[in-house]
Amino acid sequence: MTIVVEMTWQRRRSRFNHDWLKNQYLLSFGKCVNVLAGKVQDPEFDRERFLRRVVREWEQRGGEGLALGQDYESAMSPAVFFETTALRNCSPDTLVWLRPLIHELWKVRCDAGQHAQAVIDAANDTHAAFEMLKAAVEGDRTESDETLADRFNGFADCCQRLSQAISRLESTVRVI
Amino acid sequence: MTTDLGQLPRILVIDDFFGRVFPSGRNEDRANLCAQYLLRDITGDEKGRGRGQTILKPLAEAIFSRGQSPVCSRVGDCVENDLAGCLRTVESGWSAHPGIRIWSLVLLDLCFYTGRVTEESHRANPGMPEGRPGDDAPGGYFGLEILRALQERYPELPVVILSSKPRDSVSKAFTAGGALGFLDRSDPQSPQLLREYLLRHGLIPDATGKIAGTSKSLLLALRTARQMAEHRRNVLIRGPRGSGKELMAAYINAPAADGKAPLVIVDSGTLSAQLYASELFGHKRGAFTSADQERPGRIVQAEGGDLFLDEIGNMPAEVQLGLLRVLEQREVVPIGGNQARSVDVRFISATNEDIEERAATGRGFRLDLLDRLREGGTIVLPALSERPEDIPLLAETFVREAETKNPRAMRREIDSMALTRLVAYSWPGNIRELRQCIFNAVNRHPDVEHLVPAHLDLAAERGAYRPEVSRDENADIENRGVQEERSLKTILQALQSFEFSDLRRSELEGRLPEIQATCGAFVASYLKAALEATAKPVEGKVQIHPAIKMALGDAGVSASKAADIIKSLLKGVEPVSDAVLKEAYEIALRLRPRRQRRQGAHSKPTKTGPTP
Repeated sequence: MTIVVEMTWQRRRSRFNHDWLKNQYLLSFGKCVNVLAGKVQDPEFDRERFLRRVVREWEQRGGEGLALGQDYESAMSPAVFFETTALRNCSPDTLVWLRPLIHELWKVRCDAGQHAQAVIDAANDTHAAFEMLKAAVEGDRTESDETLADRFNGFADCCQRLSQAISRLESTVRVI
Repeated sequence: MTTDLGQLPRILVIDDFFGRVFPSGRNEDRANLCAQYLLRDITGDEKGRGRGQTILKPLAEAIFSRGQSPVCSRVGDCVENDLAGCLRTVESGWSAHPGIRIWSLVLLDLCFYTGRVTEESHRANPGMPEGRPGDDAPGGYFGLEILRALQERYPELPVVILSSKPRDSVSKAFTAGGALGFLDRSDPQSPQLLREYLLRHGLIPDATGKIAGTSKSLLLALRTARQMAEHRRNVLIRGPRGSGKELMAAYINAPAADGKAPLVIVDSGTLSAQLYASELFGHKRGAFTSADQERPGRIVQAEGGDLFLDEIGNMPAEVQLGLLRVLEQREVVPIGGNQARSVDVRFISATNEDIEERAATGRGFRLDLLDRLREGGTIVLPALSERPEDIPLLAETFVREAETKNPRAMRREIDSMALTRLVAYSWPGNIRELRQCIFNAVNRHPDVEHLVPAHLDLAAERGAYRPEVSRDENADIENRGVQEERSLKTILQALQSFEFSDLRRSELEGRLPEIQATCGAFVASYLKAALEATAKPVEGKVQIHPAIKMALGDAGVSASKAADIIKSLLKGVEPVSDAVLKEAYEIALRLRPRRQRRQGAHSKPTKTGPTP
């Protein structure tokens, strides 16, 4: 059985992963790759400006990915029904054991803890890759173009993995 | 990428995010999508907004549709899903209208956000609404509603989901809705996957241009052919004569082993049972009277590739049985031999008959053989009258081809009235008849710059169309000359190997005059063809010297010798009734007048000469 509950966490995920990371951020990477490969010509494209924008945007929004992983269990566990549905009327004696039981059962059956940890790990990896890219973009630029490209590609791969990890999280609160 | 696909496919993208139009400035997100997927945006809703990007080798043209109303939304507007508008957009690129290119593929988004455009939602993404509960729930995706409507109205339209939403939660729903696949929008592999979807499922024309046309019925047949070409199972091609079945066989063969797999053609229209069997299976030396040397059959020649069996309806019963054994055992035994050889051959067969009906009712074709020959599927080629929208392109193609082949021909434009007449005509002989009509028009009027209605000789309009114009019914329109040469060769081979000893006495008795007359008519027909092929282009006057040089393949033959040959070939058929032969005979007589016969000399008329 699946019950659709419009959750703040789900809206946050949608705005971060769907609206921004996939539809805007990663697509702009795809364009950059094809411009640099000579498949696309754009007189308005400037590599340096593009890289600075990549850095700026991640600084503004990158933390949202980590937060999604950290908040996942508390936001998407069926335990939330004890706060939002008739289950809130359970006696305190029942709540004290039933709520954690439901939560643990969900974690086991849906691998919730592993999925959340995968998002947290991916977010941390992405941030580490970002720091290296940022240093290359904003530093004294002594590194070669190849090194810069490697760092950009490494960061792009990490973003991709983060997006996939977030996509694997449940999109609805399940009653198990 | 584009080279493989030829003419750029046209893709419709239905997506709220990339289909929205900005009141000012460019939709950079759409530009990024196009840049990543190498799509040329031809929507035309962002004209005059800077130079923008150029896709150097685009995979496809793309037209974007928001699928919502209004298309261009501002703060305060309420955005609603628009199923009727979506269907109108799809319809505009699906119904057959002259000059309208149909959708090769539809890329469909899943999640469409609706509701009020607020300051906050507009700041995050210009023109996007804040969204309503349920927009983002997999069970309520508007994309799935569009998909179900498309499947119901346009079941042949290829639709692929392009979304950034998780695939797993909707995979069952989109598969049930008829979508062919799912592209994760930001996945770097997706552009390559889109290319593969286009090749496998898209309605795209023949990249080589050999099968000219962009009509829906042709593109559906080409798609079926590409899908069948992916495996090595036998294929049956059905279609009226002149519709290009041999070209379709070549199209199926082309992708195999990068075009290195052989395509061996057997035209069964003219072969006797023995010759047919020998042609297919090969023979050992001494297997029959004229088998003076061992010869591998066509099946062995097609090893690793394809064997095209044209006109399978004409296949003699004993050959059908032999072929069935080959198909069942995947090995062939030559006639007169006893050692089997394994073969790996795909059989592509063709017919213009209702072969299924014949097989089902036991009229001359084995059902078990037919089942083997169509195990990989059947491709149905449309008649030209079913795809009139292709006639302008085909006519243009044939005009250019005819001009190339005739060094005296000027380059010409097809007049609009001529085109109207071509499109309105019924084309009982299909593409082959159209090609012949255009070639005749160019060859008879080489010095004009416009092809006008008066140049067109449409046989069926004057009741002169003859369905059985040639034996090789399914000749490849591109290689017709080669095909006719091959047919002539097979006729000569058949004549050579024919054994009168097999006939009963009653069938032999008194047939010599008839056989002589038939042979004479055959030679006269050949001579007439040579005379017509070398006639003066405009006035159509025959020229016996070039005709005889061509017929003999001997450039050194003199004019007087040519006249003698004409006289000799037409001897005994006075008066010659055929206008072309008569003209040639009179020229020959002028050049080489007959010697005056001696008074009283007895001249016995020949009854068995050519009877043209």
